[in-house]
Amino acid sequence: MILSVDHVSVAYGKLNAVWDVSLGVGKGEIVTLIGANGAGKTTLLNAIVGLLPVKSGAVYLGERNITGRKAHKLVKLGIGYVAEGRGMFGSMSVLDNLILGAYAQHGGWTSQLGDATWLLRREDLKRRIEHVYQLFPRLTTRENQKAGSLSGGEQQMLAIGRALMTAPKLLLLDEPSLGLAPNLAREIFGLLNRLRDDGMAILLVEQDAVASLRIADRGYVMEMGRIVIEDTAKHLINNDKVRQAYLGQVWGSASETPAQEGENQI
Amino acid sequence: MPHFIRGRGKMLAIATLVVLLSIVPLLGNNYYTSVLLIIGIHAIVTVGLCLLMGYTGQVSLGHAAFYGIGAYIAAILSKTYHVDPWLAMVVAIIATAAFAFAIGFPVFRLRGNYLAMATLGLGIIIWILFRELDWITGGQSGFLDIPTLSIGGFAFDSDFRFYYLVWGFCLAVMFISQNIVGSRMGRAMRAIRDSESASQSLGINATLVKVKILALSAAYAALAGSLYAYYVGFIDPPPFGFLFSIRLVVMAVVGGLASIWGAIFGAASVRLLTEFLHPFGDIDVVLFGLIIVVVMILSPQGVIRGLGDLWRRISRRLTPS
Ligand SMILES: Nc1ncnc2c1ncn2[C@@H]1O[C@H](COP(=O)(O)OP(=O)(O)OP(=O)(O)O)[C@@H](O)[C@H]1O
Ligand SMILES: [Mg+2]
Repeated sequence: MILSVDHVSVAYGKLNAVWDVSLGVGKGEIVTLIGANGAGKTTLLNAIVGLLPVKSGAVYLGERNITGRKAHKLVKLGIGYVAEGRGMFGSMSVLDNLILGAYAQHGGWTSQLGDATWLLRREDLKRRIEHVYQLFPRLTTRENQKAGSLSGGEQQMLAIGRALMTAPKLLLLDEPSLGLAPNLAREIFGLLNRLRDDGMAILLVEQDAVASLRIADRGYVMEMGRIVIEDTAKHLINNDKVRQAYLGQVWGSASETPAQEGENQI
Repeated sequence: MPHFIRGRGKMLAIATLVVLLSIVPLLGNNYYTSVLLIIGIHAIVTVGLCLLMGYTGQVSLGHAAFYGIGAYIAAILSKTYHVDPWLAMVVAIIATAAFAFAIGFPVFRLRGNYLAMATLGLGIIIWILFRELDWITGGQSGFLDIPTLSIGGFAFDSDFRFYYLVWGFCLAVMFISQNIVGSRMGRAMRAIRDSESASQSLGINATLVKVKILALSAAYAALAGSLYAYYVGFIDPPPFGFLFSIRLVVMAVVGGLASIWGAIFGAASVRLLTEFLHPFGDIDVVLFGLIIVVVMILSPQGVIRGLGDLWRRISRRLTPS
């Protein structure tokens, strides 16, 4: 397992939002986490990436216990995060957003001094940016546009591209298809498929349970902060309870779900 | 790579500014010289506030305190302890920055309005200390006979001489700040302002960046404060109080919160307004509140940027298509 979550609880003050959750994501695997609004999916992801403190339990990245590590330290260990609400740096250009994606790798005060490795690192940066542009050609033409003025779908592409700039081995995505046109959502799911085939471990939170169960290998269903069902994606699609609770209401309606703008968590 | 200045227009504007600034004292009018000198001192503090508020998105309503700490340390060391004024100034800058660095960690656990309240409170507490620790600071009756700076036998003892010293420092501070803003650090600052959580999940240690910028802006304020103390030769608590903190915010807002060179314009506007309104007492404060509101509504990027946009719109109207 690349990611193992072991009996984790997360609380806002005294209020528990995630109860005793255990889950795992292996190399080259897409695992999806589905559940109603307020089930605690975002809370769990934020705790995994170190933006929220874990109240009890432990989180492992490979063999390494990363419980309680600060978010900014986890990037270098290979965790990429596409947060709910996209977290755009709205006043900065698309290019600057992407460059910031490589912040952890292209580090240090020496980058100010024009030392010998600087050129090399710049080449590497260029290569990564080119790679993102290949995945999302639409971003190329928007390179110098402010991220805040992109359309919702373009922002989502940028958020994913920016997370990929960190070269993660584990990628967590919180509702990447939210507010996207169906064909664009399909494109993004296709991309996740390819990343999985390249060996990335992916934890995907989605409102569109059908789409995510289709591309996922395994899935977890979360209710009121707890994992209530855990199975292969195939089984989950055919699970009566899941069909009733999640598939019925959202069947093929990804694009119709009202786009709720997730607010930047400050 | 250094990004000192981008664009030829800007370079030209700055060159013009430098030329104008160096000419003014030659006119021989002491009043102009001294007003402009004070503007230079205020601009140094304002740039720091712009880095903190405009670029990093963290409010400070207590910046006058750092200005005051710098002034008092420089004054007390050089007068009471006979430390060389230059050394006293260096110590003042380092000590103030270290103090800001230390309080930064607890203070930046707070955000938004709470942060504003905390900095406001800290500013007031420190101001009260200036007043009440009278056996060190001279209290309300002030601290007299502060020596001035000199190099070899050359003393900066006239407005004319001190003017060039202040503006030399001010321009240096501008270039340093411009460089920071264009660097990796600057990018991190803006990322924190736009989305702190996203910046963290990309590897930016947001708290540390905020604390460093607070410390840097405190260092600027202390530099300005010690220059003020050496220039006037006398300090007492009023110039370092809450009112000046607010004036600093107005300077930053008028110049453009996320603008380095705008700080000079902001400092100049506020200072000149204060000079004009001097006969009427403290009504400038009322006006400043109004100015902040108007600028934030009409031109949140600062007055210069706003006028530039207006000019472009007008000239587009006027040119027949
Ligand atoms: N900052 C917060 N402070 C207090 N409670 C919160 C906070 N954020 C979320 N909660 C609560 O925690 C619970 C889980 O919220 P969470 O955002 O994790 O749900 P979710 O599964 O991501 O929902 P959605 O599908 O709507 O995004 C909710 O009851 C919510 O009210
Ligand atoms: Mg959520």
